[in-house]
Amino acid sequence: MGDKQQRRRNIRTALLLLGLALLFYAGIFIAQALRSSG
Amino acid sequence: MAHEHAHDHDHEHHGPPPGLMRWVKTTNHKDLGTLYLCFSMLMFFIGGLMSLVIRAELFEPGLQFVHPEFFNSMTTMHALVMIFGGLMPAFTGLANWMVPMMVGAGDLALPRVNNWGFWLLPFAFALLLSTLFIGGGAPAGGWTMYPPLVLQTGAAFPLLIFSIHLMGISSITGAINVVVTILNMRAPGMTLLKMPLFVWTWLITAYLLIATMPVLAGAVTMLLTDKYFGTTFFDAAGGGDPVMFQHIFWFFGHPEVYILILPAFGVVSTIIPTFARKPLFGYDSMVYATASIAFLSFIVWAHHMFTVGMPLTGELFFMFSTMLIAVPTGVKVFNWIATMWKGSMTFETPMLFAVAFVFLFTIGGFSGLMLAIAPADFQYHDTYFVVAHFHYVLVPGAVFSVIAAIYYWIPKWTGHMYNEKLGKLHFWLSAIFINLTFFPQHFVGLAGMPRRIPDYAVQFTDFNQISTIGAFGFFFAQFLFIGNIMRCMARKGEKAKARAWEGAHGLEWTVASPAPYHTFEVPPQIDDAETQAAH
Repeated sequence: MGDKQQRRRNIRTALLLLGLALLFYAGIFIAQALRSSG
Repeated sequence: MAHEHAHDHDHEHHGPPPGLMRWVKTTNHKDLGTLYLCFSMLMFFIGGLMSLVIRAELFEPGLQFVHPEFFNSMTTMHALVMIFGGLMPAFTGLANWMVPMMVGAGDLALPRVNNWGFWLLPFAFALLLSTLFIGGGAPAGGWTMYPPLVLQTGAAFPLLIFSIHLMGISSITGAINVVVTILNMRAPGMTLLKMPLFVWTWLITAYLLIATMPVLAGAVTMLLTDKYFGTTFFDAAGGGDPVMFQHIFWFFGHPEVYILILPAFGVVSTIIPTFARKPLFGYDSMVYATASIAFLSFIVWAHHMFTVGMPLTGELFFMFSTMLIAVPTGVKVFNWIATMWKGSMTFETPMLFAVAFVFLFTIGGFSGLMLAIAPADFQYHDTYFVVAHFHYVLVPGAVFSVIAAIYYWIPKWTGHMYNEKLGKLHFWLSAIFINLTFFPQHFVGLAGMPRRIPDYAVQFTDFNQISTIGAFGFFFAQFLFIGNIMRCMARKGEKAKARAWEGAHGLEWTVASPAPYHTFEVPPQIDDAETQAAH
């Protein structure tokens, strides 16, 4: 696999994982909001 | 093609740039591994000094040396420094050094992110430790930061929250780097089930970090807004719920325990086969057991808070789910024993620490099972029994595995063998003093001595004195370790072969010792016999 292609693939995977982390962060606030509205 | 070869050739021969800026700007996984490990040693030293303040104060009943508020700061800061500054960076350092070499990658996938992730840590801990010198003192509400108590923290509060955010970002970037490297950059032929167990345990740990560190960050952000921006997430007067903080915190906190112990399992699963000169017994079951422990770690959190009050069904659920963890953990312990069974065993220092890990971690595991029993926990909760339990898991458990890993891999890192006699002396002193420190704490805990209190009833004096002697002995014994490491770094001692240990297998042992600055720029050929033996 070419260097550039490998780098792109790495960045894509990293962004996906970062998205997952941010989802967990936001999830705590969303859960709290749902709890107080419900 | 010819150009590419010339390029590779150049890379193989250029070493690190000279001077201090090498360490500031480095993106090399080996340099950053060394930085992480040195940083963690410094934090272990600072956290260790804090534990000595605690143990000195507890040598006798009554108040001797420090003000009770400062004692509370010491227990709080000792935990934060040891967990986030000592153990986690130590394992990240080991991952930095070893994961790329074990999977046949040239470096971690995101080297610049790696640099950033490390350099966040000194700032995070400078902020945290600076609270010791500001008006109102350092945080003293416990590392668990339960509201409303933690909201009484003075000027240290925002520094505490910001430092935890920085530590969290650092951990997440490190975890992302490890996952991307393992998923995308393995050498051709290095299938997932051919990876060394240390790599597997780190892959699973990295997922735990990505899932739980943001939860901690969310919880402490809410504390911050509760204190300064008028929200009432955890304030009952405004419709919030302080118990909710405990649920969120332990949803992070319990997987955190496994973040600290799974890489330790990986280290022990690497060392025992080497010195038993046998392949690891039940490799596949070890992988599945690690994954099972990681899954279960998400559904047991409320066993930390049985006494807060919860429905009976809740207590039963969390009690049984916690006990379930004993099954995959038992699989691991039996596999380590089966690996040693009829092996040609020798007991070099890394093996001594690894075998001690199996015994002593298991003591911590069993006392954990006792604590999992909800009705019994009402007696044990917040006593020294809990302190004894988690210190058995974290010190002769996780810390011993870090020490074992350093002894095991330091020939690869420095090109020189450590002094075996000094290593063995270090082991025996550590093993004796650590048991002197923590075993008596089971007894005082069962008899009712509460944790996080600077004074105690006179009948607990004898056991506390033994504990204090043990703690001082363990602390000073570690200078033998530092001396041994320094010796290797100063290039003294016998030169290490590429395969420093007769029974060692895996890609890291196919490169020279010390490992060249750049390894596997061209992916290595995977030798199936080598990877199978590495299991």
